[in-house]
Amino acid sequence: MTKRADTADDVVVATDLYRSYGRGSAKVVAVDDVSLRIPRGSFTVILGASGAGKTTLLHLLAGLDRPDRGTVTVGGVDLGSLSETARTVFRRRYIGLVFQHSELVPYLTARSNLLLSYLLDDKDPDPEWMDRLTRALGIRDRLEQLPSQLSGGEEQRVALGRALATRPEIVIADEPHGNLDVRQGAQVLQILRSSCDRLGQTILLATHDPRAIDIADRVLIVHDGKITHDVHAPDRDAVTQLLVS
Amino acid sequence: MTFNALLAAALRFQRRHILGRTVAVAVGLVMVVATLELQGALTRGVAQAPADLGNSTSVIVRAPAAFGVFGEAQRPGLPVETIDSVAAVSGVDRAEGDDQGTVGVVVDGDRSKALLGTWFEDEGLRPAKVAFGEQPSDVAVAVTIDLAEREGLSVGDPIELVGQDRVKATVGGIVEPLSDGPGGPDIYAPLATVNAIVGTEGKVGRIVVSGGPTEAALASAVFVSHPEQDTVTRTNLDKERTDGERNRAYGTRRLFTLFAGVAIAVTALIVVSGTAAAVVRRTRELATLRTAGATPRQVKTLVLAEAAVVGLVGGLAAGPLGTIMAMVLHGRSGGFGLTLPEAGPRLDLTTLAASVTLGVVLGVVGAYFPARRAGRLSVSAALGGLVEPNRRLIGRAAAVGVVLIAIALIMSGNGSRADTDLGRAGLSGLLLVTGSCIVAAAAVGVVTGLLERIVPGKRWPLTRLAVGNLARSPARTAGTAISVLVGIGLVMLTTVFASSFDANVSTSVRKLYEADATLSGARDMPGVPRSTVEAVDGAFGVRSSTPVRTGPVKIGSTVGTAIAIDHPRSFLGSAFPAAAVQALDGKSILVRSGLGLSPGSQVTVMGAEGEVKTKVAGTFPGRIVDRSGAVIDAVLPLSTGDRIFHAGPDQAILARTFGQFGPTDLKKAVGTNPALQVNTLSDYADGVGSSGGRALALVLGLLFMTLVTSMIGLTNTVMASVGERTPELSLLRALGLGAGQLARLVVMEAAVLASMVSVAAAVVAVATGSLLVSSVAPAGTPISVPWEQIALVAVVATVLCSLAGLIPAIRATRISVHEGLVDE
Repeated sequence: MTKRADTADDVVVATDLYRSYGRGSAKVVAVDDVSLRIPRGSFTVILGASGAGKTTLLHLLAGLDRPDRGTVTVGGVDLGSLSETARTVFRRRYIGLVFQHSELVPYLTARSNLLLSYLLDDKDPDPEWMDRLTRALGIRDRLEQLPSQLSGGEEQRVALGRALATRPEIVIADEPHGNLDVRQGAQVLQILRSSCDRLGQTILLATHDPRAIDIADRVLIVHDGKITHDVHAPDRDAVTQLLVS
Repeated sequence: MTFNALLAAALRFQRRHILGRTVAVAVGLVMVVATLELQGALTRGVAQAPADLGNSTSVIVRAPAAFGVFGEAQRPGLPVETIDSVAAVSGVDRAEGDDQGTVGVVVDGDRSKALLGTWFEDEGLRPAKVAFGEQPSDVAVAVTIDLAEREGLSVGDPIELVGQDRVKATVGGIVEPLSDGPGGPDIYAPLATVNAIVGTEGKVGRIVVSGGPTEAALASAVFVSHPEQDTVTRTNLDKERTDGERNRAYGTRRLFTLFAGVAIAVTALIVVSGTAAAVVRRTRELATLRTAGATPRQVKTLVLAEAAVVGLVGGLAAGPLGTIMAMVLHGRSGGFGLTLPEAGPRLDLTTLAASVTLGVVLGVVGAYFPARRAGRLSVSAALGGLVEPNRRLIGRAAAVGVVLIAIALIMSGNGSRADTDLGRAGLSGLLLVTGSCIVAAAAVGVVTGLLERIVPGKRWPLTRLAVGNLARSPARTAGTAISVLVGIGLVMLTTVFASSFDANVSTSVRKLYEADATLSGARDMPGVPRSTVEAVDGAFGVRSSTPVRTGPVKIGSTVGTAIAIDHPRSFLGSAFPAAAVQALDGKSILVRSGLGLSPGSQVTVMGAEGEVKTKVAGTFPGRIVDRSGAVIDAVLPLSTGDRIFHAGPDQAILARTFGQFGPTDLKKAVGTNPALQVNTLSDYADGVGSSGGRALALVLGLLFMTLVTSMIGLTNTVMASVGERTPELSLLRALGLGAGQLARLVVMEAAVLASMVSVAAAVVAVATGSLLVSSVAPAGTPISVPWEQIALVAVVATVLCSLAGLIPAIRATRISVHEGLVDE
């Protein structure tokens, strides 16, 4: 494993990221020369229309995909310098991921899904931290259930718990409440916000939902693979105007 | 909880899907175990091949071998007087003359073939004991229990034996062999009777001697008094027989090995396609594990562990089931023209361990590449990101296939036909078939894409949907196609080979002789007694006739086959140059041009019964075969053949007739005789030996079972495809697709794939069959494509494949639309 930088104010640093798919007339540029920095402990929201390139950008930042050009460092580690296996182990320990569909492993109980990263590492979690996390997520009494026995909101809370379980450098969430009703969606946003406030967790959230603007420290607007606006201390009306324009 | 616990949880969850793959692998392994068990039984039978003698201390006296053909010594018979001279040797208690020969058996008009042997007066030398009735006498023969059961014979029943003479007798007794080894006589009679039927009056094949004080001392005493003969102890004879059985079993063992190899290859392909389908179905789950930090290696381990369990359970089931199948086949081996030892297959721990080991190895090896792909799957694409189109896989596979074909063609192009190395020809054939199957499967994958554009969706909506799904992943379609293609292709290829072999023999025999009518032994009859030629010669309308004999010969240093014939100028066909035939003078011979002999040279021709010095009158080009498929190396005068070949019936009588006279007139002339048949030369040429046909039936039967294995693999793959597309199929149901329509859609997919695979298999079979026939068969061998048989195989395979889609179709109709959509 590559040695991580000791201190850095920016958890994620992306420089000149470029990613395209296909060739010729079928070529799609999903991320076009994007550079950005995500400060530690911040709550950043990425907004953009469908097909704007949000998911591809998140996948590049999480090391799920490799850019054609440019670099991504997370916690001071250049993801491009890591082998596939090393990048996977790094992601296991230092990056939490949440998706629109909860993506739980169907044959593992909620507890095992929550502890999946530890399980893959053959390590035991800190029981006190787990206790605190499951209380905060409100899933303590559902831990022995299989995903098929959980509601959509519960599944997504388990997925959030899995992302937070290792106390990663950053939690990257791709529309985690897009599949939930208004109340459950609000709960998910609240959990993410409070993990940022109480635990100092760095959060990067991609969504269509304007409610996320209200809890964000910063909003990035993505259009045609580029970051067109970078708004600090955002105001919902102003950001909405930018989106509409 | 550890990673192993995750593996266990995954296996528990996947058990239903694993079951389907396990059944497919188990069926494949059953084929493998059954053939290996039969091969094992054959090997064990060879190892314990007993002497065809009783339990007395004994030695055997026989003439020295003249030469060997395929490891079998060709030796002349001994004059019967030698029996008395051996009996007079000090230490000899008893000397018995032994003669054997193949005869036709007629029971109630039914014909079969059997081995007639001599019944010894000395009880200790007899290889069998009387179970019912009396021991053989001049008027009654004894038959083995096996023959009695096969022909429904009881003591007192009439039986007719046909050889050089036709003898009507009764069954005096039924005997039980003392050992269960292969190759013992089926019928016993006194020596004089055997001599008369086989046509070896005045001679015996060997003399069996009992006495003492020890075997070695007895052998030594006999050898000292008869140094010109070959004296062998019973112990050495046992060893010799074992070696002989091993040589005779060589071809059958190779056949079983070849089939086991095919079954292993098909099973491996089923594992590959089944695992690949499972990986596709589980893409999201595996991607989830990867996002949570599972390394490619861990994902690979997960897939391989599952494959190992599939192989383990499949192997456990296949052990006993394969042995049972081997027992059934062993019991019916006689019907296929195979002689297998009585001691048949048996289930033991070694079989089970071998089956399980093979299952696990096949499971893991077959799943390796799909598992590696699973480890390398694009997590981003699996979780809804954009997908980089991957068309390289199918192109790479096709390239590998083309390279294999090119290597095969180079290998087969390097050897001249006359000295074709069968090992190299086999390897190049294997590469050719493998490469062609890969290319054809890749073509099926690509053609589905073209079909998708052609099939009109408005007119045939279901067909369009079915083709569309196949076209969605050409690589996966090609992967599914190849396992079915190998099964269908091999069945078709075998029919092309068999048809070309038959056509070659027929064409060759037509060129070998000229005749207006032929007289030959009916099916299972040993041939035509020499006495018949007088009846033919004397028949009204017959201008001239000749017996035809064939036998093994040694010409100079070459061992081969010769035909002996009278009136060569009248009866030799277009295969022989007219000038060479004209040069024959009744004492000289013709030889094949590849033997290095030129016209005018002196040569010694040796047969089993003697040798002659003769002159080469001419040569004939190419490699022509007789009715048994043996390459003819020389043409001898009949008188020479009579002198050097073993006594026995002739292969045929050829006749030239006047004008309007033909086979029908000849038939009237020779009278009603169920042991003989009269034909035109053309019909005679077409009547290739039936034992080859039965062996072909066995090969086709075994290959057909491989085809069935492929069908089960296809069921499994379609099942996985249905599972993978549950949300999509649910959506179609929600939009108004009826349950019946959905079932038809799934069956249609299997049928469309099977139709394309059948066409591809036919192309592969005809193309590779033609190339292989032209590279390994004698020059001028016609390539005969049995279109009707190929069409029949294609139709049967398509129907079977469509049936293979039925179970997944039924499963598809049971999908809950609500749950399917909720999954999405």
